Amino acid sequence: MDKATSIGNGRIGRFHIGVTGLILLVTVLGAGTALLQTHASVRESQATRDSVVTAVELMGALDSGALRAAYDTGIAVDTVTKMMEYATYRLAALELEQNGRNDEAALYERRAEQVEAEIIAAGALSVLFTDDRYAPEPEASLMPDIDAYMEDWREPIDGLLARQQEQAQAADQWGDRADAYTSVATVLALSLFLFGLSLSIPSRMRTLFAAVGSLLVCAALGWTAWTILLT
Amino acid sequence: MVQDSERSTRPQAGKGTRLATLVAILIAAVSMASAGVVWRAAIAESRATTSEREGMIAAVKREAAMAADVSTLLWEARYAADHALYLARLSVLEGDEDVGADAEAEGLAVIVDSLAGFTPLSTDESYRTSDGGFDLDARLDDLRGLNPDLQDVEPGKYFSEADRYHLESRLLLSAVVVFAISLFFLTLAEITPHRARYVLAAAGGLIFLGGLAGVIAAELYCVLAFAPVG
Repeated sequence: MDKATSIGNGRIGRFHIGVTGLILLVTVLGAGTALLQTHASVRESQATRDSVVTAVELMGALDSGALRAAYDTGIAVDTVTKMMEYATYRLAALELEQNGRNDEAALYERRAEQVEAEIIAAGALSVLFTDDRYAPEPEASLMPDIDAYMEDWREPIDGLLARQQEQAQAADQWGDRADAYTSVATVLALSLFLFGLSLSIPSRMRTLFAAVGSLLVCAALGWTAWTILLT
Repeated sequence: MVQDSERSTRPQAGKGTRLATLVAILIAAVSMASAGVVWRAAIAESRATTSEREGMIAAVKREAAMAADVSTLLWEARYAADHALYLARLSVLEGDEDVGADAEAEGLAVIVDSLAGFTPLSTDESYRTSDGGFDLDARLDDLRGLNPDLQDVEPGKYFSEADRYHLESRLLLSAVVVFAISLFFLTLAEITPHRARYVLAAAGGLIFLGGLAGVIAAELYCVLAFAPVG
């Protein structure tokens, strides 16, 4: 009888030590998971911050760029309009001269000279006329290459947009990782609960609790490995 | 015989009790140290969040100031362009000997003078390019110089500070993992009846000391390696 009790007590002792060891292991794993979760949260926070700053820079670039484009295209439109105005005055002067109305023709000529002076002055005021990339080809067109100008204007903005999207995507990914680690920590907490319960239950059910707790620890380990390696 | 046996087991039992007490005290110390380190890590994270928020506010301020300066620059440029066009017309009229042209030139001269007052782009030769255009970048630099507080807003320094606090937090939490491993060995030492408990207790104690040294090193590194934002 004494021997049986002793054997039984020995079994109980081993079970308790085994489960206590598992609880300690889960504690260490929990601390490790907390560290991983903190790391992922920090990376998410940094990526979110970078994404927000890039979005602000993008808004600034759009705002400034739109103002500058409005100025340049405004000058271009005014200049082209003046070029047509100039041609109209010259034609009118020519018609009047052919009809012998020289005084009126001189008046139109003078008006054309004023507009021509304005056209020359306006030609220096916008990159659409001063920059060879956009300036109209002599004898070919009156209009500068607005499409090329807009394309160049959009290039840095598109770059900022792509960078902002990358950063937002990175923030999402790190956020998903952080969420996964939080879930792993929850599973580990559940296993701790089962291990603790198995220590307080005297029946054979304690083995089942310890087994399910161990399975949960394995699942948590697998989930952590999958999160680290595959996401 | 029985008395001899009791005499021999008493000192061993006394040693075991002393070890158990020592290990219990160590476990308590590890728990306290872990709580303290987690508290420090939480403070570091909170500071990191504050620095990040300040950095984002700085970024918004910088872009808003830049947009306002560009807006000012471009309405100035628009007035300066009008001024340049009127001036071109005026120069043609002034060369004309016609009476009507003289009268028109007088009127235009008033307009030109009025427009000149709106912006230094019209009057200051330093803002002129060699081809007669406007040096808008030079004018923008000067406009930005009018608000040095906003010009010098640099979100990067706040983000560097936030990164420093994030690093501190991560280093401290790494020490908590070390403390957890120490706790693992110490608790095993507490519940193990064999002589192995001495080894386990020693391992737990050493790991704890290593963790403490790590915490001190991490704190010193973060204080010495990074200067705070002034």
